[in-house]
Amino acid sequence: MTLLEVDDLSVVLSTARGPAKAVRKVSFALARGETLGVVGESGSGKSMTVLAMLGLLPEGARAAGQARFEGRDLLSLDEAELCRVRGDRIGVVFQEPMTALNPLHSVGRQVAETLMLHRGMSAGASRREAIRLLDRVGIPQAARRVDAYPHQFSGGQRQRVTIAIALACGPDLLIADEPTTALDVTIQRQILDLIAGLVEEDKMALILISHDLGVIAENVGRTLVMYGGALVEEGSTSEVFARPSHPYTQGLFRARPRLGAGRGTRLSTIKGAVPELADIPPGCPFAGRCPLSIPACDAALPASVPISASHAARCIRLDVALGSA
Amino acid sequence: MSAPLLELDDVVKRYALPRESLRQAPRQVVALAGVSLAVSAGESLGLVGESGSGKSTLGRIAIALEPASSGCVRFEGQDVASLTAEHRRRLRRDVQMVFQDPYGSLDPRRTIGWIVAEPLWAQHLDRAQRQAAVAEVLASVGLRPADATKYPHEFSGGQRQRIAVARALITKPRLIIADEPVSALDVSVQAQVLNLLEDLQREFGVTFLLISHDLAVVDHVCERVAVMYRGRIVEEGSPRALFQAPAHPYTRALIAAMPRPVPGRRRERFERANGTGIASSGEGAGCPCADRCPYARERCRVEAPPLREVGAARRAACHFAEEVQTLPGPA
Amino acid sequence: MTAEASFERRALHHPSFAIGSALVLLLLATAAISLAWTPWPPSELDIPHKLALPSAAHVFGTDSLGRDVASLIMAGARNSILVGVIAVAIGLVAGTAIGAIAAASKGWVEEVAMRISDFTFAFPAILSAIMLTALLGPGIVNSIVAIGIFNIPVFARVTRASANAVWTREFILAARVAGKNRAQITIEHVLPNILPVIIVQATIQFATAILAEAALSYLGLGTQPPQASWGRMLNEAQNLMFQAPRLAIYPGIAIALSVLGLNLVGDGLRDLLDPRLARRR
Repeated sequence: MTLLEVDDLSVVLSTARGPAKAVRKVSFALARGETLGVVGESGSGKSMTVLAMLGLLPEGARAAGQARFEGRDLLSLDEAELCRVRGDRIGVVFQEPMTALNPLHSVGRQVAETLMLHRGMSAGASRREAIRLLDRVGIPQAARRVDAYPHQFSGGQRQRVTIAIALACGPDLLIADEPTTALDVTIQRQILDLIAGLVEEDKMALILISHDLGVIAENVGRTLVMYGGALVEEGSTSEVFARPSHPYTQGLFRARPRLGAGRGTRLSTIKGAVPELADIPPGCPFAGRCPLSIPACDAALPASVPISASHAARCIRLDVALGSA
Repeated sequence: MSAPLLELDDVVKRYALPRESLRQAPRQVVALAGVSLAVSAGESLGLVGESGSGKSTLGRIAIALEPASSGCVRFEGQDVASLTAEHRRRLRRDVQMVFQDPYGSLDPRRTIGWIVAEPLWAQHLDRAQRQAAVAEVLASVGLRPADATKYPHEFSGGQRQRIAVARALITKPRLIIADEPVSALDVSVQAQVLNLLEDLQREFGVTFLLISHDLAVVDHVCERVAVMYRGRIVEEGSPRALFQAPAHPYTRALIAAMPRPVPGRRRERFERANGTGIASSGEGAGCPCADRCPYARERCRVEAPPLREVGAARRAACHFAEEVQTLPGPA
Repeated sequence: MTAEASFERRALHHPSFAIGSALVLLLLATAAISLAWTPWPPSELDIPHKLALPSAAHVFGTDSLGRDVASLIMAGARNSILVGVIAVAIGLVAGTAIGAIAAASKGWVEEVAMRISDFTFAFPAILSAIMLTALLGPGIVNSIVAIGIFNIPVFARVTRASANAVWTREFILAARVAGKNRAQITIEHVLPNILPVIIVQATIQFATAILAEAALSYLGLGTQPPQASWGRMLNEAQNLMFQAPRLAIYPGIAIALSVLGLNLVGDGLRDLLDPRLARRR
């Protein structure tokens, strides 16, 4: 059953250089219990896509299209209705755990607040529930630590606390936006394991946003690749990783240093730099850097071309790209 | 073997924390707990570790930006703590640094030409010589001489990091210390900078000390790796040997924790129980890893393992290094 | 290519900056014209025509001694600018130096410098000015010195706070790696980077200085006759508050508009000089 259906979602940001398309006609669907990864570099629009769904876009940004969550279009909800969905049906974990938590309130209170707000729980009941949640996300001695403040926790533990808050109301969808980018690799591993375990136990759907191909590969069933605001490739994670098809995805895979490749093996590079949002060409966003681009690439955003039943890419030169892979 | 270019001998660095009480002496953190390391000329050494492992502190002490609390840092056999003015000037010319943040490491109010020429200020060059040097070094990192009149904000992150590398190259240094030079860059741009570092090493024979949290980056650029944990070097060796058969459980955990683009990979955990995860720099007896290590035994809690030879050009600080080495591969 | 919209274009689109600079230009123009021409000599007494109502001959009327109010306002503008510029210059040079040295040296030097500035801060501007003029005697020079001294800790604090932020940036480390000493780094990197903050502060302190000068002259401690001063005009108008309230209103409006204009310019500059708004990252 479809939980979330995003249809032609576009976001226009107002920048110093005029309006810029941060998200361009992104469509995807997510079933209950499904795990979806969104991978992309800075400026790819991966975070903007979820911020638009949550009604959390920065000032001056406009969203168009639809994002139906349990049948209701999130983009047409007013702030009060959105507040009821956020934190209740949709839990969110952000990159920076220190700024996501209020330094002046104890972590227990911050978990309990969500419960009192959305569930109307009493102070006592919500505190007991907070302790249970903190224990569940692996905070040692949760009953004792419930009254501690964010600065008394390490970075990894703070991220555990934000996960507890996101999970408080038993959401149907958990959105994690670069949840481990600020953390060390060994801690990253623990947090990703925790999220994977919780998602599985509670049968939640997961949207995991990351710039790291490895993080995506190991944690989600389906993958979207974004570049320059557009969804350039999508498919089951195993297919996308076994057969990256869009020239950008291929370039990204080759450019990544691999452990064990050894010294002196040359990394293949993608020429140029990620363009500014305002400079993204009107056609295929990757055209300016793509080794395969032809004049027709600049004409319009390419349509999605199926590669298999569960794998597709937006490229008009897919035949060449697949041949060279 | 010739004398090492850079040599650290039992370097300790302590920082005083802000006072919590007027009556107590301020508490101290130990950033480096006795590190010995040698880098010979022409070699590239990678320093790997997580935040708080002391790897950046080590870089700053090696370049004499900060004094060591105890121990000795020698560059070309000279103790950098007691250099004559003349030798200090030579050190400033012979050792350069590339920083992590390409947005923070270039003064936004100076032109690229000014920034790149900054390390030359003490050498009294005239305008033309300076411009020629800037043009040459910009060309060697793939930028145009005309870029010298632009300002940093006109460049992308990858280009800025090239500019930072150009600044480090302009004195024709013997040693470049690069502190996380690619971790602030997008993946598609990282590769350009990594390839550049490799080229420079081949072309100019510069010695590199590359500090990174990313094992793959180090594997790509370096011929020798040292892994740091809580202010100590826990393992040292060639990347190939180290990554195929790590001799220290922490190295093993680092490798296992690295996400790889292989869907649905099996995982191994370093943490046995719910460790606190707080990097305490406790100076108790025993191995500093004992509370996190899944292979820790009684001996680990009472006796700190020294960094010892565990094979050809291979050192590890674990009582059971030989055993750990024979475990099936972490990847 | 740069993503910068030109400073002038952005300035014109910034409402408070545009209004503020119009007011400041008006103030400057008035003062400039007064150097060459005023309707009447500002200190010329004309007792027979005292307290004349505004007319073609005397646009703003005359005061209790028959002086032309319009001419006094114009000459007063000159006086305000003179006091403001010198007092701000004293504060800016000394304060920025103290703040920059404190930030560069850390340790006890910083502590001492900042505790001294805290100490001066503890006295209200007007009080310290009164103390100083009481010690040295009233007069324009002493009031400038008094206002200038009050400005020193203001600039010292602003400079130290922003300089401290610059000192943590990596390009400072790069300069240290290049072997530059703290003085060189302060001059070549720190000061250029905090210049916008200091310019904004100087604009706002200029407004404060005009207010302080008016207050001191009002109390009879600042500008002495026959020099024209808005503050003294207010003082003289006080005795005739009910017969001729307009005598208080003209200098009052002049002070208010100047202070408002400078503050608006300061606020506007704060936005306009912020590189985050001007540039892409």
